[in-house]
Amino acid sequence: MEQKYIRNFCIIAHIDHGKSTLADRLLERTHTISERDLKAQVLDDMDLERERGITIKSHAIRMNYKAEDGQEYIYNLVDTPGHVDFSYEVSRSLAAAEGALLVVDAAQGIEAQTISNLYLAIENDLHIIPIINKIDLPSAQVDVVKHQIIELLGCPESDIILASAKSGAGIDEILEAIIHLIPPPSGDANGKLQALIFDSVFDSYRGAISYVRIFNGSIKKNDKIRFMNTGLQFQAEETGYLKMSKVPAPELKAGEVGYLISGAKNVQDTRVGDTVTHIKDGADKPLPGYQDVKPMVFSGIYPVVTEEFETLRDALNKLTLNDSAITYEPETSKALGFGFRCGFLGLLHMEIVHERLEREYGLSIINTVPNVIFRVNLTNGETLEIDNPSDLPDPGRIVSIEEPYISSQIITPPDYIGAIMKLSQEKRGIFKTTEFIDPSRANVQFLFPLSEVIFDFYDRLKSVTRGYASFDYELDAYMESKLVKLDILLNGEPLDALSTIVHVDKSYDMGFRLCKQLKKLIPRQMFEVAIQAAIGTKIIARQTVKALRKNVTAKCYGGDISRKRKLLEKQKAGKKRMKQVGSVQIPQEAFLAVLSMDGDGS
Amino acid sequence: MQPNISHKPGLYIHIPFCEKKCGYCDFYSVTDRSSRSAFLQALNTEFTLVRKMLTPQEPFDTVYFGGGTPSLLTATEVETILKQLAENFFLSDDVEITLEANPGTIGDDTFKDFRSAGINRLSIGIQSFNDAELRFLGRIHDTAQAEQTIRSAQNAGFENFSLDLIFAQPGQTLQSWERSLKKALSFGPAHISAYNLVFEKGTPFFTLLQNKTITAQSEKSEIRFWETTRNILTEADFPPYEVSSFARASQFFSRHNVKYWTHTPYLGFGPSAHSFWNNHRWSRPRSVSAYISALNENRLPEAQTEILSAKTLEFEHIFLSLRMYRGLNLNEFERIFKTLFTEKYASEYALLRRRGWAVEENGFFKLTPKGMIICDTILQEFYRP
Repeated sequence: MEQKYIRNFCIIAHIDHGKSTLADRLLERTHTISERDLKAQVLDDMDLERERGITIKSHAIRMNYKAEDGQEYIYNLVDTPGHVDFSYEVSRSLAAAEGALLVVDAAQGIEAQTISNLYLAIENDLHIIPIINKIDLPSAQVDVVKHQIIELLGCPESDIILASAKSGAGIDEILEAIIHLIPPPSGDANGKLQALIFDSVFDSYRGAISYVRIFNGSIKKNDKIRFMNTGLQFQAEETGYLKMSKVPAPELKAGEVGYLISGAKNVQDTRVGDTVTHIKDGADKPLPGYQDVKPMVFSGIYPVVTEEFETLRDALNKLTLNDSAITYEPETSKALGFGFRCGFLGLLHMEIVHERLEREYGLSIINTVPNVIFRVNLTNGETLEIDNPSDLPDPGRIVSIEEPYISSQIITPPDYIGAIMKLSQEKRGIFKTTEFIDPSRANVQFLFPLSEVIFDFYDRLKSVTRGYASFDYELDAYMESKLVKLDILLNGEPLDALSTIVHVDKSYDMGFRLCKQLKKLIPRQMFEVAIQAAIGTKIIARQTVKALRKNVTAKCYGGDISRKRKLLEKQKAGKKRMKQVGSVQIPQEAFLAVLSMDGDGS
Repeated sequence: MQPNISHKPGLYIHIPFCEKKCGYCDFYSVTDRSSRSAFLQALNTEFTLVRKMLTPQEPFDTVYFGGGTPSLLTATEVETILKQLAENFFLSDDVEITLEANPGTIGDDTFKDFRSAGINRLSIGIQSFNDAELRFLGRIHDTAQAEQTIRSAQNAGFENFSLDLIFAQPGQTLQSWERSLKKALSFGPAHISAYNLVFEKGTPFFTLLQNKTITAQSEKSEIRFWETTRNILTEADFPPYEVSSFARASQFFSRHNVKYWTHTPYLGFGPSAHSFWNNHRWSRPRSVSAYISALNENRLPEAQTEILSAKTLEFEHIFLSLRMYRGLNLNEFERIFKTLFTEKYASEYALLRRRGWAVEENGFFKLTPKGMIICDTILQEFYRP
């Protein structure tokens, strides 16, 4: 198919604004999928995604559209993840397209996430088709939302399409607008091959499958290829299009979107953002924008049952086949035994990995308190990089500790600047500037310690700005901070997995709140449990979980012994899911107590 | 005197009728008594079918009429049931035959007739000697009727009787509970069962608790109730021999109930009745109509059946034995399970003794009062999945 009949686009929307339903409608109207086969929200095929309502990994799908002018077009819909943890993946998906459908809920209006992804799209020179969805809701405020969109995009009112993905209203108009408003791809089909990997998934039979957008040249089966950033070489085993399933095709040409199976065994080898070219007569330069994704947040992962260590190793091994962003290496904890120190893109990523390990591999695991990488300057002139608080050397050997800062921009209506300033103070932010983009939006820039941002910053920001602020960040530099190690002791025994490195000014408050939260999470047991927070040898906070004083079922007669027995067995099984440290039973969630503490200080 | 404990099997008959359902009770019963004669007929069929299936050779030394409200039966009906039982099973000469009787269901002379019919032990469902509490519990009787019932039983010649009482009711004061206990003692019973009120799932009380119409006693006050009960009864020479059971002397233990706690076989008849026989446990359906219709077709209705594994038997043996204050017989355990309790459960054994929750005395491993009050927590530790 000639490039002028191809359109590549993505959808930008806030969670729940109807992205998936709209995608379903497009697939239906282009007969890519029959109504009967349509599982709700086809594009999100992981359980987790469906529950969380976030598309975690991007997908792509090809549709054939017969336009009103009688011409047949090829539409490639490139789906995008929608969380700040995955902003790099989003940017690569956007780079694979020429246009974007901006979907805004008629009742909710424009929200934070939409703006930050919209800006990414504009940065990538995408043409935007604004759509107001859910216009048939009783609470729809079409005029208000129209006004918001016009201010944001500066587009004429007539460009905005009114739609209801649920009823199907506006769908035909969208399909036509794609032809007229989104430009066709413009690569050189006879040039040297440059294909962008915008996603990569693992298939247990085929190995890594790369989703690619061909910018220049073409790729055929059996071509000898090279990944320009990693330098790895492979042979194209199969190429094809992404429909409801993979459809092999002999060749992918400039402008097209499809998949490539190359014999790469895992997704580490086929990194998102990398450029594929030919070994012989290849392109001179890769496509711009590639980044080596580095984990920012580290946490220990331990099996609840120590015997499951090897199973956990296998599971992590398999997970990295389709998640190139996780890193892991073995470590030991005095309290928890053998486990792994794992690196994640952010907290959501960590939670997803945790859930996948439990759900897909049937493991019961403990995540320890997440932290960043600290740089410790020692008296002997050496510098250590530490990704685990337990590894912090003796204070006598430490000259100073540095922690990573991020530079962030928060885009917000000016009304919330005060609230954001207050939050930033609490999070040790360093104010840089405020720029007004227009009277209704300001861009407030801060430096923050990354360790403050990984906890509950994003949630807090959303709550103080009622969801209006969008937040984006990149790693800035390491800076010296007055940091101390905060230890938690249970019945006098330090529990290394609960140690954290915190700013000295926050250590007392943190110690107090952590003890309080642990008291809530640790159930009463046969003995009293003393929870203490300490800095060095100094105890700074204490709480007590009182011993269970009465637990006895009065009745055990009438001959129904099975029921009583099963009750005891069930209670014991509940305990089994807890980690026994010394004589204390600790539930999994207690190890992440620091994350579930009440947001504001005492 | 020897404790009233035997290893001969027992028989249980469930009479599934009540005049009124009490809000706390989760035993199976219905208030519609129209199927009474069909039920009695089905019961006899069940005796025959079970006898044919199991052909037990050993004598049974307990018969226990539980419910429901067995005292709704006439003495003639009780006599017939006992006669039918004796036609199917060997009853030992010293068989203990208990009838659960509720005040408000028995006329003054009926006890004499029950006695002539063969009943030699009564368990009387008093629950409280406080009228407000009785109304709250949903009982059909008042204090005066409770007292009258006990006197009638005594007049009929029953000395071996037990009184059932319930403590830690919502709103109940400790003083009121002490009065009920002392009142109960004043009648000179042989046995007292004092139950901590439990909010069982599926009962009206459970729902009331969930929607906060009623409030349970705090843990602290439940402990006070519990300790007061123990102290008052022990001082009155009624030491506890099981979590909720107290007897004037060990010869007045409930011989039938003790079978549940010593892994002694028993056969249960009637809807919802449970049996333990030859390492099997089974139960009948909780439905009078399902029960009757199956037996009318000469079929034994089963709700659940379970064959106990060696592991399960061992766990049951431990947790049941330890609910009795006499505890677990270490030699007997070794004989049955071919392993030393003190070795296999060495860490639990050591920990419980160190904490003062258990002691070993004369070959028995037993919980102390301090251990008994948290026995559910302790007992689950012996479960090895």
